[in-house]
Amino acid sequence: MPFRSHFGHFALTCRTMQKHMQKLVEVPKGQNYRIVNISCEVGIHERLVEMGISKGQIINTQGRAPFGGPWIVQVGSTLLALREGEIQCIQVEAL
Amino acid sequence: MHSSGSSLVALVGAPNCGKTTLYNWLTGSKFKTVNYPGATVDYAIGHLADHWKQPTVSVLDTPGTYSLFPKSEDEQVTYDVLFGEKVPTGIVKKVILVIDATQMERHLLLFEQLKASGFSIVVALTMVDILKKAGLAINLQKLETQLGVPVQVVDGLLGKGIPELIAAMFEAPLSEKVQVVAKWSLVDYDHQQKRVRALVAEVLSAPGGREKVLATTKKIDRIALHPFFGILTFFLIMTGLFTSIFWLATPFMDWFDASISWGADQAHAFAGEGLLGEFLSEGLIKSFGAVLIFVPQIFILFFGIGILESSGYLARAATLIDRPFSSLGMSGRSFVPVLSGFACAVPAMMATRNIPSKRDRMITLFMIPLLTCSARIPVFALFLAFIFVDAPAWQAGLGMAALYFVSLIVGTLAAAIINRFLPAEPHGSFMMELPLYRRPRFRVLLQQSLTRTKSYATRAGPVIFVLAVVLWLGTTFPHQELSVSEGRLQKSYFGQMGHYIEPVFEPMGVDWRVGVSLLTSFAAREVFVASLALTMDITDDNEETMTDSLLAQMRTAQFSDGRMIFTTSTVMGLLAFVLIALQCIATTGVAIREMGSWKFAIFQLLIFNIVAYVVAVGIVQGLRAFGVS
Repeated sequence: MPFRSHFGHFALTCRTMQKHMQKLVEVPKGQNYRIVNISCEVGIHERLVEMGISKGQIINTQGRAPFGGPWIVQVGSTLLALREGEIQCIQVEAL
Repeated sequence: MHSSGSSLVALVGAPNCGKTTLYNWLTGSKFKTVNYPGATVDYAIGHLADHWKQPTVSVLDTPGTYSLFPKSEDEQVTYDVLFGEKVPTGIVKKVILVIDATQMERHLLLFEQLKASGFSIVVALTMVDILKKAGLAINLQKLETQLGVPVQVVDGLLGKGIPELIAAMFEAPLSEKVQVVAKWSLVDYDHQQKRVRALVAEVLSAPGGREKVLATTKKIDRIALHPFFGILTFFLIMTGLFTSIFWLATPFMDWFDASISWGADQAHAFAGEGLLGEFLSEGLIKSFGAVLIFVPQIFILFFGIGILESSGYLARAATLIDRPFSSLGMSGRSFVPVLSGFACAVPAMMATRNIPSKRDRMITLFMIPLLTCSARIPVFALFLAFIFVDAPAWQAGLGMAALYFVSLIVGTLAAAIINRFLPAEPHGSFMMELPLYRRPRFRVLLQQSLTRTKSYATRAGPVIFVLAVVLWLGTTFPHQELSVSEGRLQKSYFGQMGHYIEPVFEPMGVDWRVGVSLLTSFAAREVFVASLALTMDITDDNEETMTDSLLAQMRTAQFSDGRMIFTTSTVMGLLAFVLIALQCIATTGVAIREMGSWKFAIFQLLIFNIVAYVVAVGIVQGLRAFGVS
């Protein structure tokens, strides 16, 4: 069944990647990481994907706008400003 | 604009891909636009410019979109145009897809969607010069073979490649069976992105070296988004924009002013002393003049926003303001609409269409009419001249600045209040692309701002005409045979109405004449001054001295029992009223359309005017209680 295999895959992913998987918002800025998982509401996920953020992409953070404003992230040669709520769900691993 | 279906070409592309510049190259100055600043929120349609020496073809510009699955109102416009829903432009037969070469991985997804829909596509590749500067090369032949459609490099700055693009467009076949493409699931996206990435890796040399493309932009961003210097830059730029709106516009406005007076005099001379002459000069030309006088200011604002937008700074400004705005229930995307609101609420409300969140958009639409638009300026100027009589000019200037600031505070308060009452949404959203910094193309900007200003003026035209007629009829008839000094006005329809409504304006400390002027200015605020001049029996034809004689008249105007009408307290009350009240038919009209709910628009109309009245009465009575007359 799709559910079981999906879950199995998920569990496996968790086990093998737990050590390396980090939240994008927690990694040092300016360093490249690979996106391994995006776990958010479909609406936001779709928009992220349209803007070029998807699994397997190389990403880094450039810092944050003042007053705790949006994060500036770089994917390829694209710079994006995203609210914390919009990138919380992005998990990355070191290259 | 009419177009034969067989020759309609649509320009499609993501935001910031250089689409509008290309559109300008293709159509030259021969296009009609319904654009407003901030985004190409409506589609624009034009013809291929004559100098390309080609058969007539209609070219349609569409708002930037990331996909064919619309997520905001402006993306919806593109969708409707492409798939022929509710659009009077005819059926799109060919698509020129504009792709930013530095953003190919993302922009090629749109290509896949267009292709799947069955469109005949020609790709225009922009920003190739930026790639070259960063030492990257692109294999065009390979790209063309892989995509299976013609690809033409175009240079937005120099116009290179445009003739070739036009030729390719003519050669391309017509789209045959166009159908809406089924929405991609996340799995579809994943699959397509892998393909596109592989394709880009194949055609673009040294993808590893792409850091260089962003080097300058990142350097500038270190300042533009810096907690201290970024905010300093923001304030400097905004101050610069608003001061230039006033300083640069003044000579043009004076010139307009003089021309209008001259025109009115000519009309009077031409049509003689009778009713026709009066109607032409007092009714028509001066009413139009009252609105046309803002044209220079609106042009400068459009031009200024255009510079900020095309240089890439506007996206940074929106990013800076996102956090403060989000505490008011809006987002950084509300920044352009709010900025435009200081010129005119009508284009400002239309610019809210690129706010994807309905709730954010509603709050922004709600607060926009509170910002000091240019129509309030002449009213404020008159009252400030009354208060600061014989005082140095800078005091009145400071007063004006204070009024702007107060309107911003009031708007902020309104947003914060409505934010509490609207049902909460789980996630607000901002998500904005920060484009590469680029040198703005002044020629294109100039043309664009001119077209936008022109369309603003032509849209306002019919409303002003109707209004001018009604206002003139209402203040002239039914006793048109009397002269003004014989009390034609008091006995007119508006005069009679004024006496009935006087009790309403009594608590504000003003008489029926001011009341009638306020009522007529619900059609458009700027009418207030002309209206007050009419009701105060000012018949001086010279515009310069009209203000002076109006001020003189205001200083002596009395109630029948001898009390003064215009005192410090009543003028302060009137200032507050005009600051808050929603006296603009056009705004409410647009609000109904943009909010998609006439109930909310009527609520906005009522609440702003009720609050304005209560505050004005409060100020007048409060000041009097403290002994200020």
